Amino acid sequence: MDPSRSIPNVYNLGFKAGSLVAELLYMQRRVTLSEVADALTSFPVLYKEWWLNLVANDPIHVLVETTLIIAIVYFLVSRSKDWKASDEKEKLTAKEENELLYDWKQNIRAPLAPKVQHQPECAVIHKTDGRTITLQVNVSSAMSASSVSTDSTPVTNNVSTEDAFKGGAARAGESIHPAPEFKTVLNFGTSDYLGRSASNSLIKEAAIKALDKYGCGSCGPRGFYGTVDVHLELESAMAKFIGTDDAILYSDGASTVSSTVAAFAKRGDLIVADEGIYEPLMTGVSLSRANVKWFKHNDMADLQKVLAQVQESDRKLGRKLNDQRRFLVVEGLYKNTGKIVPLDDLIKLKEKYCFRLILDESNSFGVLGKTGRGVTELFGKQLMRDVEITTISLENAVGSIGGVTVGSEEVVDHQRLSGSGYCFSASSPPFTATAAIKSIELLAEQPETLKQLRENQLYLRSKLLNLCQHKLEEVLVITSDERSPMVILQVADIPETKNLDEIAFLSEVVKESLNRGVAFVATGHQSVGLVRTAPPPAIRICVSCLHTKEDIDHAVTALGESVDFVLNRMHDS
Amino acid sequence: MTRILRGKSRFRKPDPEDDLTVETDMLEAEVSSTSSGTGSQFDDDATAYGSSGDPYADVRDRMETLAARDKAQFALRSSDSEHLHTEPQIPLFIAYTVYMSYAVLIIIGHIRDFLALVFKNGRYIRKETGFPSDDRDSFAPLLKSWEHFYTRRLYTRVQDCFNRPIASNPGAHIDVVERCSYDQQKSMKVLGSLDNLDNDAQRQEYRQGEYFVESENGSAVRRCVNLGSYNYLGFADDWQVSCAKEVKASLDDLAVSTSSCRNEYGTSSIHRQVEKTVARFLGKEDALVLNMGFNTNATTIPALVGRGDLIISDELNHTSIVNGARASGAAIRIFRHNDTSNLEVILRDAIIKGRPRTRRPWNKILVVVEGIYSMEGEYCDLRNVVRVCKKYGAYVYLDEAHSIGAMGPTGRGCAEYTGVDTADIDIMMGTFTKSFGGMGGYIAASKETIAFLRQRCAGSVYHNSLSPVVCQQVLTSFKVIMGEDGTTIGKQKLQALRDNSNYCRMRLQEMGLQVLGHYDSPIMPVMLYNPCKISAFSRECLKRGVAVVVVGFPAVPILMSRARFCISAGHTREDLDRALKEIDEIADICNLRYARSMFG
Repeated sequence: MDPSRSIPNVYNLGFKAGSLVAELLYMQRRVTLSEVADALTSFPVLYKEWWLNLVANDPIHVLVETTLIIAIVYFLVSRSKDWKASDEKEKLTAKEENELLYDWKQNIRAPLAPKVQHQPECAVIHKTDGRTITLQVNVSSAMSASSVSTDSTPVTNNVSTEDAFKGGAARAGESIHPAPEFKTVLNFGTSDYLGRSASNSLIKEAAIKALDKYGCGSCGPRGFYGTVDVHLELESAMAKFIGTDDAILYSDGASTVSSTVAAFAKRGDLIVADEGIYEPLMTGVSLSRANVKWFKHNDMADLQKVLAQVQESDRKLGRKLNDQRRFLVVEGLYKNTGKIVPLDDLIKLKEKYCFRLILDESNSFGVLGKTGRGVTELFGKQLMRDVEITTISLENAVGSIGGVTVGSEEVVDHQRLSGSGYCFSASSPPFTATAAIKSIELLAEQPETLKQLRENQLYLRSKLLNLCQHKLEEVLVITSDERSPMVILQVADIPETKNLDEIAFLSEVVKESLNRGVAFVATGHQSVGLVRTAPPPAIRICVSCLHTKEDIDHAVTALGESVDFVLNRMHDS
Repeated sequence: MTRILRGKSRFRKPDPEDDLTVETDMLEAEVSSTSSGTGSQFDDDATAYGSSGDPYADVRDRMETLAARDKAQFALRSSDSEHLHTEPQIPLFIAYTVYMSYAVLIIIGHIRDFLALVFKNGRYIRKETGFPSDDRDSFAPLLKSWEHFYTRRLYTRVQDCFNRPIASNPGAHIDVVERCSYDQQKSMKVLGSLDNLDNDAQRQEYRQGEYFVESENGSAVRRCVNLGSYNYLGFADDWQVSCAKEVKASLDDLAVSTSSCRNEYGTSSIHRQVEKTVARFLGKEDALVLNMGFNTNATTIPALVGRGDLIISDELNHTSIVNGARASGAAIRIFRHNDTSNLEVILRDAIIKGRPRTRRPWNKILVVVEGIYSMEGEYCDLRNVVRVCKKYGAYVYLDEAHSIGAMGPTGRGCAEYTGVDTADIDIMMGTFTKSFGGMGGYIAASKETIAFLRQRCAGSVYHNSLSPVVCQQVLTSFKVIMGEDGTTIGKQKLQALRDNSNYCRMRLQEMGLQVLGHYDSPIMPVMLYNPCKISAFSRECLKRGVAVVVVGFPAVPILMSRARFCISAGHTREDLDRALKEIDEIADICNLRYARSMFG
C-alpha cells in the first residue's frame, strides 16, 4: 500500500500536488487526463483522512487554530464594512457637488487680474535720434497732460507745433482725444550706448537693404525654412568677433538668456547664482529645475562660503565631483545694480571648485573692454576656456533685436535642438540680423565711438559725484561701478531719508526731470514674478556716445533741480 | 446626421461623387442654420478672386462640400458626445517596421560608439581642448548621454532635412541654399559658389539640376515651391507692393530697436496703434504687444497665475505655453487633446476636491487651448471648451498663433470660425510671425487685465519691446486684412488661402495619403511614420523643387513622424498642382498611401 495513504498529512498532500505540477511543467512528462482526474477525485478523500487524523491526534491544536481563523475573518469582514461605510459618508452627493461647484464659481473664484490702483502712464515715443527722444505728452488722459510744467529749460523743450499738427491730422478720426503734443527730451533712458539704433545711417541702410530683399518677417522657426542666410552670417560674424567656435542666434534677448540656462542645467544639477541677477537669468534658473544656491550680490567671500558648503555636503554624502553638472550663473554688468562682476576672483573660485560658468554679457558687450568685447576682455579672460557659456543680448549696445549664445561647438550645437527659444520660436526678422552684423562691424571699424562713450561716462560720473556730494546733501549716492556706462543712483542710507518712500520719491524725481527735458528711468516699482529679481529702488542713467558735454551738464543740473523740487514738495506736504 | 458622420473615419478615403451629393443638402441646411456670419463663407462676389476669376471653378463644389461637412462635424457641434481627435491609426505592420528601424539605428549607433572607443578614432570623439572643464574626473559631461546619442547617431543622419537656410523672402517660392557636409553629416556647411566644389563633374551635376539657380552673389541655390513657411496670407510675396513703403518709412523717425522695455522708453506711437488695432480687430477692450510670440506666452501665463491657481492645458499645447505654465508655479493638469468631456471631468474634479493636501479651493483656474495645433492641423473645439469653462467658471486662454488671420471669413481666427463670441474668451493670445509677416505677439483681453499685465508681465516690464519697424509691418498688414487700405486685397488673400488649403487637402486625401487636420485649416500634416521616410521624403521633394517640412521625434511621438505642409495665399493653383504632382510621385516611391493600404 502506498505509504502516503497510510499516514495522510498536510505535507503529503502538498507533495503530491507539487510533484504533479512539477512533472507537468518541467519534466515534460506527458500527463494523461486520467491521471489528472485521479488526482482531483482523490483529493477530498485524502483531505478528509488528514483532517480526521488531526482532530483525533491533537484536538486542542485544532480548537485554538480554528478560533484564531474565525477571529481574523471576523475582524477583516467587520473592518471592511466600516471602511465602506466611511467611504460612503465621505462621498458627496450630486447635490453637494453642485453646491460646491456653484459656490466656487460665484464666491470663491478670484478675478483673472486684480485691479490695478495706479496705472503709471508710460512714455510714448514719437521720434528718436538716439541723443534725444520726442515724446507724446498727452497720451490719453488729461491728467498726464496737465502735469507737464512749462518752466522747462529752453534748450530742449521745443514743443514742435508742426509735429503736433501732423499728428493731429493723422488722428482726425479720434476726436475725443486732444491733439497730441510733442516734446523733445534728452535721452538718458535707453541702453543704446553706442548710438546704434536710432541715428546711425549705416545701420538703417543695412536694415532697409535687407527689408527690400527679404521682406519683414522670416515666417518660420529656424528649423523650418526660417533660417535666412543673414542669420548664418551674423552667427559667424559674432563668433569671429568674440573668438569662439560658434554662435547661435535667438530672436529675443531675454529668451536667449533663459533658454540657454535651461538647455544645460537640468533636474539634479546644481546652480550657484548671484542674488542680483536680472529677470531673464532668473527665469532660466527656475525653468531649469536644478538645485539652486544663492550667494550675496557680487560678494566673492560669500560665494567662497557657499562653494565650501557644497564641498562639505559632498564629503558628507560621498558625492563625487562629476556626479552632477555644476554651474555658476552671473552677469558681466548687472542690469539691476550696475556692478561689474569680479571675474578674476570668480574664475579662480570656479576652477578650484570645478564649476562651469554661465556669464550673461547682455549689458556689457559692446561697452566694456578695450574693443567692446565685454567683461571677459576687461579682465583679459578667454572665452570657452574660462567662461564656458556666454549669452549676449543684441538689444542693448548692438542696437538690434535678438540675442546670441557663444561658446564651444558642443555648447552651440546642443542648443540647436534643446534651446526652447531657438527651436520653438520664429527666427528674428532678417533685417535685424543685418543691422546687428553692421553694428558688430562698426565696433571694429569705429573705435572712436567707444572712446567717446568712455569720455562721456567719466564726465557724467564726475559731474554726478560732484552733484551728490555738494548739492544734494548726499541724499543720492552712486552705487554702480565706475566703468559702467549705466549709472545707478540710489537713496543714501542716512537719517534724513529714513522716512522717505524711496520708490515714490525716485519716480517723482524722474517725472520732474522729464519736465525739465531729460529722460531717466526709475526702477524698483516693478514687482514682477519672483521677488528676488525686482531691481532695487534707483534711478538709472544710461549715457551714450552721442551726448555732448552740454547735454550731460544739462542732465545733471536737471536731476539736481528735480531732487530739490521733489524734496521740498514732500517736506511741504 | 450624426449617424452619418460618426461612421466616417478621420482619414476618409476619397468618396465617390454620389456619396457626397446625398449629404450635401442636409449639410448645407445645418451649416447655414447654425449661426449667422459663420455659415456660408463663400459668396459669389467676384472681387473675392481678383480680376482673373475663380481658379478652382472646376472643383469648387466638391471642395465646398467637403469643407462644409468638416465644419459641421468639428467646428459647429455643440455637444462633446464624440471625441474630436482620434490618434492616427498606425497600421500594425508600420508600427513594427518603425520600431525595428529605430532598433537598427540605435544598435548601429552603439556599435559605432564602441568602435570609436576601441580605436580612438571617430568624428564624435571630443577633441582635447586643454580647457579645465575637459577634466572628466571633476566635471560631469555637459550633455546627457541619451540626448547626445540621439543627436549624434540619429539626428545628424537626417540633419540636411532641417535648418535649411534660404536666401530669399519666405514667399511662395524660396531659394533654398545648397549645403554639403565635409564631415559625414556631422555638420552642414553652406556650399556657396560652385567653385568650391572639387571637380567639374560635380559642378555639372548641380548645373543640370532642374531647379538650380545661381543667386546674385554667386552661391548655389535651388528654387523651390515653399510648402514650409507660415506665410499664410502671403505678405512675404507681395511685400514690396503691400507693405514696403510704410514699413521703410517707419525707420525715418524711429529705430530698428527701441533698446528699452515697454514700460520705460520702449513704447512708440506705432506700438499703441497696433494695440488699438488688435483690440478692435478682435473685439476686446485692450491689447498688449510684446517682442516675441514665444515670450508672450512664457511671460503672460506666470503673470496671470501663480501658487494656488490651476492651469488645465491641452496635451498638445506648444512649448511656450508649457514653459510659461512651469515658470508660473501654478499646479498643472493636462486634458486629452481636444477632448472637452475629459476637460469637464478634470475641471469638475479639481473644483470639488480643491488643492491637493491642503484641500483649500483654487483661487482661479485657467484653461489653455490653441486655435490651430501646429503639428496636427486641427482647430480647437472652441465651442465646447467655452461652454464647459463658462459652466464651471474657469478662464479661457486661447493661443491663436496659427489661426489668427488664417481662419474665419474675415481672418479673425478660430473664435470667428467656430462662431464663438470673443467676449467669452478671457485671454486671446496670438503672434504676428505667421499671417502678418512680422514678429512678436499680442495679448488681447479686458481693460483691467491688460492694465494688470502691463505692470506685471515680465515681457512688458523687463524685456526689450517689439521693433517699431515690425510694428509698422503688423499695422500695415492689419489694414490690408481689414480692408482699410481701400482695396479688396485682404479679402482676396483670405479667400485664396482658404481655397488653396482646401484644394490641397482634398487632393492629398484623394492620393490616399493619411492627412491630419480639418478642412479650412492651412496646416496639413501627412503621416510618414518610418524614420527613413522622413529623410527620403524631404530629400526627394527638395530634388524636385518642393520645400517641405518633415517632423520627427522629439517634436512628435516617436511613432508619429510626419511631413507638414503650410499653405499660403501666395500660392497659385499652378504652384500647388506642380507640388502635388511631385508629391504624388514621391508617394509611390516612399509608399506613403497609408489611407489605402497598411503597406502604404
